[in-house]
Amino acid sequence: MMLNVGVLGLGKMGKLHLMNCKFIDGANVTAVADASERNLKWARSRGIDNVYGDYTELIEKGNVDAVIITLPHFLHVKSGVLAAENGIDVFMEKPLANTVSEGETIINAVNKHGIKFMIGCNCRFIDSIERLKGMYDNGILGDVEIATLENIGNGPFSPFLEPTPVPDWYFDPDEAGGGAFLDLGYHMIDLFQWFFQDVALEYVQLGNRYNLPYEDNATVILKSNKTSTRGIVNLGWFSRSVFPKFDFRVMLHGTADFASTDNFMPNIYLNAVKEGLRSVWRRAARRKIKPLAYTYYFYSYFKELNHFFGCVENDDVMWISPEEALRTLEVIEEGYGMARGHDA
Amino acid sequence: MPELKTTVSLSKCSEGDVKETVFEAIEKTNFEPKKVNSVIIKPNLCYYWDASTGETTDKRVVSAIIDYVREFCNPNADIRIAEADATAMKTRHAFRMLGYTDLAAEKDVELFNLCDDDFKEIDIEIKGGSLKVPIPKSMINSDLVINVPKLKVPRRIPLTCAMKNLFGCIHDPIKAKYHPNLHEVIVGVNSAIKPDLTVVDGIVALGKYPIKLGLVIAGTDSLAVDFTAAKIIGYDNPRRIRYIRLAEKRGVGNLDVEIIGEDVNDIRKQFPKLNTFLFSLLWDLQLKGVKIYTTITGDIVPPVLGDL
Repeated sequence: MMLNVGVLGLGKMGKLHLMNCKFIDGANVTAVADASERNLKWARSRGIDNVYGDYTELIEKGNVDAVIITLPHFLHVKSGVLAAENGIDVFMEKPLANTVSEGETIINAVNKHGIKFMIGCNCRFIDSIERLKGMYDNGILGDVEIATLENIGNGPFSPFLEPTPVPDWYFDPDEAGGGAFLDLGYHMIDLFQWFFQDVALEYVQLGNRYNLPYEDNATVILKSNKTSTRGIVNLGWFSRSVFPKFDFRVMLHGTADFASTDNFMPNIYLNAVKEGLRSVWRRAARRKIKPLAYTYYFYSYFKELNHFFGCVENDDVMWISPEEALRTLEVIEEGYGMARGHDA
Repeated sequence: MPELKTTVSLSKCSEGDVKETVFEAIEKTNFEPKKVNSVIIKPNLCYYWDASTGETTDKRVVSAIIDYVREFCNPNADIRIAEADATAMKTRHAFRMLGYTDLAAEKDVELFNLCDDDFKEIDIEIKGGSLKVPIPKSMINSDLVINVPKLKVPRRIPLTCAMKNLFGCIHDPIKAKYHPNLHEVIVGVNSAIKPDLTVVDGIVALGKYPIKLGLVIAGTDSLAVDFTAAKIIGYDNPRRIRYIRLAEKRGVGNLDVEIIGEDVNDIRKQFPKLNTFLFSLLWDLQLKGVKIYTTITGDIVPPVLGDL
């Protein structure tokens, strides 16, 4: 079955998902929506003529079966609910919403209208994370008492080699909903929840190196009520890091052994050559390539989207449930409340 | 009459004495304080990266310059800290994120986006013709213009210091369009804007990586300052840098330089030299490799590389 797909929002993530769809059987991007004429022109140049300046029009008139929502955070609730009301399946970039209340509104609409829904948490699909999860699930590490999760980068700020403007909404706390804790914390809390389940917040400390109207770094302590594992999470948007450097890791300290995703990260240049040659060979043999496998990290975005469309097609259960997506947001909102308490 | 030597001073500071070092560095130059009413100070705030990365001007240096102007020129002078929007940077965000909004409030000075200023178009000679470049009038008409660049090697050209920082004044956010004629435009802009004083923030300089040099360079001639900076970053002959050669040829500045204060060679040994030619070559090769690969296989270019 071929699904007609609409992409709402053609920022970097929207463009990436659109391009990834070309490699997914059963997903055909037939419509896009973006407020920028430049981005619509970009879509037209890639053969998509059904373009909209207003995303609500795409949902209501675009004749699509599923949408990929990569709109600014503050538009998630309206777009998500409207898609659900129109019976359209939704893949939505994290975070679920800016507040728990908005998140509940989305999940209620999803449940009421029985659509398929998944939040994009690509970190679950990174090869090194999958391998670490395999070790943990197989008991190789024993019981994990402490987990350390770190994700430090430049957030919405571009690396210096390719400077690009940061969208204005990112500087507005009402529209962005928060800073590094919401943006990167969403990934890391989701990972902790996936590994250990029943996540609860123990402590949070927010920092602001850059005088932004929200935090640009955070240290968080989580706890699993199921396994008693404690998670120490360090997050930051303050680093002028340069691709392909990647300040991201999960370390598990277990009763039997310890392991880190760093142990599974390949040399990024050797990986690029290896995967690049594989793709050339596959192309020559008229086989499918693994899009962006040569970058290591970005291949995870294809995998999550492929998983979503696979679940839609086969009516399978998504890896990331709406309830998990909401729970992650609840922990973050509780954290913001706790941080305000520190300030007071 | 032969042109007089111009002095460039090198002074070292520690964390706590930035103000004293800036004062000392200025006092060793040819700069003669005079009574002024309008003052414009141009730091390098090229993007939203902290001074500790070596990318942007440390606000403590600008703070010290404000104190110097108030003490030696006019306590009531109208002082503006100015920067122009760039391709990816908006001054209103940069001022706040890099601490200049707080500094302006503390020192009672104005923050000014040069893209909001009136401008004058100048003709810059380039290969095969000329190019019109808009220059903010404040950078020309203010009583006192102080340039406060960063000492860095930004990978695409051999040196960013005094003269390149004035390229950042151009009254047009899309500065990338001038990059094909970068050296000519740098020289052209410096023909139009003649700062009375340049104070370089080399407290954290940027070469192959950021380095705490604790250095303040000062001078009254932008070309002479860049000549000195080029020696620090590793050039035995700074005329190998095209815009320095071009500026000398066009009479933009004085290369009869007397360097006083710290020993250039001592500082040079500390500077983490970056081979910009090799860096650019390797980077371009990688981009070309990705482009060829994606053309052959139909694979995707990652978002961090933009539209190749």
